[in-house]
Amino acid sequence: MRDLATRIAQTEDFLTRRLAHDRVAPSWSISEIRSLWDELRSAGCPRVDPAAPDWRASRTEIVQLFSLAGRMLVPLPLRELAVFTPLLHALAHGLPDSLADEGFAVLAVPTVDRGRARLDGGALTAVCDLVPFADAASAFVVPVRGDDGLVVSVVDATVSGITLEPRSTYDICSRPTLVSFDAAPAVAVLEHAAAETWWTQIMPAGRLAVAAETSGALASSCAQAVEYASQRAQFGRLIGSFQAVQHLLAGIASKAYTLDALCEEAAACAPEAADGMATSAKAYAAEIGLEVVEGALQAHGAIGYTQERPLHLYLKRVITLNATLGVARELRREIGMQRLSKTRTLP
Amino acid sequence: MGVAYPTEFGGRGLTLLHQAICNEELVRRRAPTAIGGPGVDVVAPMLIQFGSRDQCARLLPPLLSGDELWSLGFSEPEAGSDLAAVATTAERDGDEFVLNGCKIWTGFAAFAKRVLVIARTDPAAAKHRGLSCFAVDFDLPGVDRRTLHEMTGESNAPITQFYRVFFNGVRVPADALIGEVNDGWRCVLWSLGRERGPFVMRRQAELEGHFAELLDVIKGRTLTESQVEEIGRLSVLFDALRGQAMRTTRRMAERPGELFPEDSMDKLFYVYVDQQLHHLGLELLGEYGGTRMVTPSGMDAHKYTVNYMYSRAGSIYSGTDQIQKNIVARRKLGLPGA
Repeated sequence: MRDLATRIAQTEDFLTRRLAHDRVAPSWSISEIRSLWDELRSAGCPRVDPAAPDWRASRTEIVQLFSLAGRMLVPLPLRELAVFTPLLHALAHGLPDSLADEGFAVLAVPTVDRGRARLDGGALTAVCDLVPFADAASAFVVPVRGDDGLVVSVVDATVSGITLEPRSTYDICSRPTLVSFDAAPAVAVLEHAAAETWWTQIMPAGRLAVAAETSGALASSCAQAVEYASQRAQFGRLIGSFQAVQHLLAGIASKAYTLDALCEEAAACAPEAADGMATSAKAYAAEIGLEVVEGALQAHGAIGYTQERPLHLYLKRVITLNATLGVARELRREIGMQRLSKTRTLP
Repeated sequence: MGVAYPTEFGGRGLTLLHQAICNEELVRRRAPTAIGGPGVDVVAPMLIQFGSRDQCARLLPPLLSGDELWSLGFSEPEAGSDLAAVATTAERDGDEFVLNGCKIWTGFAAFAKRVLVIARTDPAAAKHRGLSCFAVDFDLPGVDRRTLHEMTGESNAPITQFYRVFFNGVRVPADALIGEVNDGWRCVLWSLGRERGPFVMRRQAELEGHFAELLDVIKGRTLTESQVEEIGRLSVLFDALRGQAMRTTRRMAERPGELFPEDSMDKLFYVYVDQQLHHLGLELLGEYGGTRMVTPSGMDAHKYTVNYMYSRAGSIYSGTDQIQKNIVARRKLGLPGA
C-alpha cells in the first residue's frame, strides 16, 4: 500500500487534470461521477475503511482528503463516497445491490417542519430537503425516529414513489435537491442500538470532514490574498507592504493555522477523545470560516467582489460548509451542555 | 524543573513531550504556578546554546533545581517593542565589564539571584550589531532594584511583580559574558523565540486548569442560554489550543533549536484564549465584577478580577500582538517590505 502522503499527492494530480474547467463547475452525470470515483480510487484517493466498523480508524485519511477537497473545490459528493457509504457498508447488513461496486448512498435526513417521517411495513413517507447529489445517488439513507427508537432505512434510487426537485445554490460543490418519498419501498438496515451506533459514527466523521474541508478552503483563501497583496500596487507600493494589510493577513492566516492544527489533533488524539475533538473542529471551523474568507476578500479590494478572481467560490463554499452538520451556535450550546454536565471537570 | 534538559546539568534528560505531560499533571493537581519560568525557559536554553561548558556547569544546576531564580534584563524604558534600541552599556575594563543603565519589567527581581542582561558593548556598531549578553549577580555593588506597581497592586505577586533595575558602574567579571562579544542580539532573539514553545505548552495547561476551576465554581448555578453557549465556545477554543500546543511540541521535538514564525501564531492564540476566558469570568461574576470580595454564590470575585487584569498583559509581554503579526506577515507569509 502506498503511503498516505503519496496517495494524497496522486489524488491532487488527478484532480488538477480533471478540474481544469475555467472555474465553471462541471455538472457531472451519475455515470461520470461513478467513473471519476473509480479513477480517483485507482489514483490512490483515500476513504474510510469499509472493513473497520469504527470511523476513528480512518481519521487521518478523512482530514487529509477533505483538506485537499477544500483547497481544490471538488464538485463531487466526496463525503458520501469516501465517508458515509463505506461506514454504511461497515455497519449494516442486507444493503441493496445498487450499493455494491461503485454505487453510493446519500444521507437524506427528514426535514423537521415538513411533516413526520414514517416507515410503515417497508414503505417510507418523508420529505428531505437539501439532499446532496440526489440525482446521482444509487440509494438514499434515511434515518427515521419513531416511537420505538431510531431506524435507518435504505431506499434504492430506482424505485417508484421518489420525487426529486432540484434546489438552486451559489456553491459549485453541492448539488442540493428536495427529495420526497411517498410510500417508497424501503429496507430497514439498522435498528435501535445498532442505528444509534451508526448515528454516533457518521456524525463525528462527517463533522471532521466538514472541518477539514473548511480548513483547506481557508488555507487557499489566505494564499490567494497573500498572492494578490504581493502583486497589487497602490500609492506606489505593493499593498502587502502596508502594515494594516500585513496585520489583517497575519490575523486570518493565524486563525486558519489554528483550525488546521485542531483538525490534525482530532485525527491524532486518543480514540476516546476523537468524537469530541471532531465536534470542536467543526464548531471552530464554523466560528472562524467566514471571518477568514472575509479578511481575504478585504485584502482583494473591489476585485474580490467580482468573479474575476476565484475567491468568491471559496466564500460560497464556506457558507455551505458552515451550514452543514450543525451551525456554530447549535454546536457551542451542545458542547457547553456536555461540558457542564460532566461531574469531573478536570481533564 | 528542567525535565527536558541534559542530566549532566541537573535536568531530567527527557523530551519536551515529557515536559508537556509534566505541566499538565501539575495543573491537574492544582500545584501552585512555578515562578522560575524566565530562567528555565529563556536563560537555560541560551546557556546551553551559546554559553561555555564552565558556565553551564556553574549556573545550570542551581537554576534547574529552583535554588537560584533568574530575572530577564531585556526591556528598557526607551527599548520596548524596539528591543534593539537598548542603551545600557557594558564597557570592557581589564578582566571586567562595567555596566551602566536601566532595565524595566524585570520580574522576580526581589527573589532572583541573577539577571540576564543585554547591553551595548560597541556603541559605534549598527543598532543590532553592538550588543552582548551577561549573567549578572544581583548582589553586586551598584545594582539597585525598585518596585514598579502594576494595575493589580500587590495581589498578583510574586507571579507578576515587576521591578526597575538600575546599574550604576556595576563591575561584572569577564566570564559573565554569554556567547561572543557583540553577538548578543542573535542570542536574545533565539532565546525569546525558543521561549514561546514551552511557554505556550505551560500556559495552555494552566489556562485549562483555570477553566476547569471556573466550571467547578459555577456548578449547580442556573445559567442563561448565552452563558452555556459561551462555555461551549471556550471549550472549543481550548481544544484548538491543545491541538496547536501538540503541533508545537512535535515541531520542537523534531527540529530542536530552530525558530519558527508559527511560534508567534501560538502566542497570538493562547493570549486570545486567555483573554476570552477571563471575559467569561467577569461575565459570570455579574454585578460583583471588579469587587475584591467573595460573592454570595461562592465565587472569588477578587481573584477573577485580578486574573482578568493579568490577561491584558498577555498581548503586551514577550512581544506585543502587533510585533507577533509583523513576524507572521514577513516570515510566514513572505509579504513584501516597505
